[in-house]
Formats: sequence, C-alpha cells, structure tokens
Amino acid sequence: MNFLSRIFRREMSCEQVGAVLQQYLDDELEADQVPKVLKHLEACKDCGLEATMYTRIKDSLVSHQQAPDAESMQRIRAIAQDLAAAGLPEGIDG
Amino acid sequence: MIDVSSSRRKESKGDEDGFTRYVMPELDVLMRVARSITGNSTDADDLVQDTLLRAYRAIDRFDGRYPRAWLLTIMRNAQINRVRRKRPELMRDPDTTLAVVANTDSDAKTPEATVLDKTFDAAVERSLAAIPEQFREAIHLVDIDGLSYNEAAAVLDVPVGTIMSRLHRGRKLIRNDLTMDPEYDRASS
Repeated sequence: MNFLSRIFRREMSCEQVGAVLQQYLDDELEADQVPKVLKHLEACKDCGLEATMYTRIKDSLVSHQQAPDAESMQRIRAIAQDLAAAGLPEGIDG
Repeated sequence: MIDVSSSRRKESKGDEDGFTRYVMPELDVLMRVARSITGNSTDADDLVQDTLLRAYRAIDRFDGRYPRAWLLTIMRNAQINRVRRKRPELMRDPDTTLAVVANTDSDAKTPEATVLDKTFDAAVERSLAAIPEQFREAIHLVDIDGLSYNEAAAVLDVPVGTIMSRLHRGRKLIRNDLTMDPEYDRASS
C-alpha cells in the first residue's frame, strides 16, 4: 500500500494492524478502530491471509469448548438456588 | 434439596436479589473456568461450590459492577486456598490439556471437509499442548472458556496487558508451529 496515500487517507499500516489484530479477532478492539482494521484487511492480501489463519485457529480452539457436565450443573444450580432463596445450606460453615 | 438452617438464614432481601441477579447467570461460565483451572470435574464442582459460598457471604459488599470478573476473582482466591490446603498445581497438566477430540459439525460438511477440519483441529491441539503453560492458560481462558481479557486477567491475577501479550505470543507460536506441520499442510492445501 502506498505510504503517502495511506497517510493522506489516515489508513492503518500493516504494522499497526498487526499490533491490534488479536484484539480485533477477540472483539476487544475499540469500536472506532474496527472499520479501519477491516478496511485494511480487505485491501491487504498478506494481512487478510494472516487474519484468516488466526481466525481458523481460534475457531478450532472454540470447538474444544465443552458444556459442563449436566449432573454437576444440576447439583451446582440447586446449591445456588438454595443460597439465593434462603441462606447457607445446613452443614456448610459460614 | 438442601435443608436450610433457620439460624443461618439471611434476612436481607437485597442479598437474595443480588445473588439471583449477579451469580445465577454466571454458573455455566464458573463451571467451565473451574474445569479449566482444576483439570477435573470433581475438583471443579467443589471449587464452584466454594466460590458460591464465598460470593453469598460477600454479596452485600458487592457494588454490582462486572459480576463475572468479581466471581472469577473469588474463584481464583478460593482455588489458591484449596491449593494451599492440598497439593495440586494451579492449572491442569500440560500433557492432558485438551485431550478431547474436536467436535465438528459433520452434517453441514462434505466427508472430505470433515476429515480436513479434524486434521487441522488435531494439529492445533498438538500445537496448543506444546506451547509454554502461561500462554496456554491465557488461550484456554479466552478462546475455549470464552472469557474477555478483563475476566481472564481476574482469573490469573495479572494485568490485562499481560493477557494480551500472552495471547499474542501463544497464538503466534501455534501459527508458526502449524505452518511447519505436514498434517496442516495437507489440511490447508
């Protein structure tokens, strides 16, 4: 991307995008920065491929997420409901 | 149903409402994170129960801001106490991290795509298991448990910038490892 035209249009450089790419992919980037990153990723093949790679890795990691065991969840929910409704369960020290 | 001792009942309706409002919606997250930091479901159940009791005792002092981060901080402190009382390490054994095979949506994909995705997932899993533990912890909490940077920072008791740095470095290691993995080459070509 041409340096002067980038400065003139106040566009982000590859280095600037690289510095915030993880935040962008994690939805942790400041809202006003998001369109600038998106614009760069659409225009820059290298950064676009980098973002695609990290997205694929993240998607793969997310697929490892397991729902909590149903029986454990039921037990914990019952304890929480008892606490919410009344107070410390019998036999548990306050 | 657990019997409740009348002598121990909290009379404050505000505490009751606060517990229902701030704690009940976070039970799923607490269970997932507890599983991550203990490494097994039995200890995870105990840790969540401990966290709930501590939260109940402290709910009248909670200002209502960022309940998830507040609960995760309580959980971290509870786990530190549990580790002091017992023996195990704070995070699960690296060798057993992510022993579960990826569960892909096979109905929506061709058999070939499913195989390639599983190959890729297996390569990512191998890479994740091979990176330093502090990077793996951050990636596990954010990517697998779905915590925000602030919430992961509360669990690990480190600044948010440290979480960002560990994520960046950890993911870069995985990425670099994958590009050298022949299995990944097959899956991505």
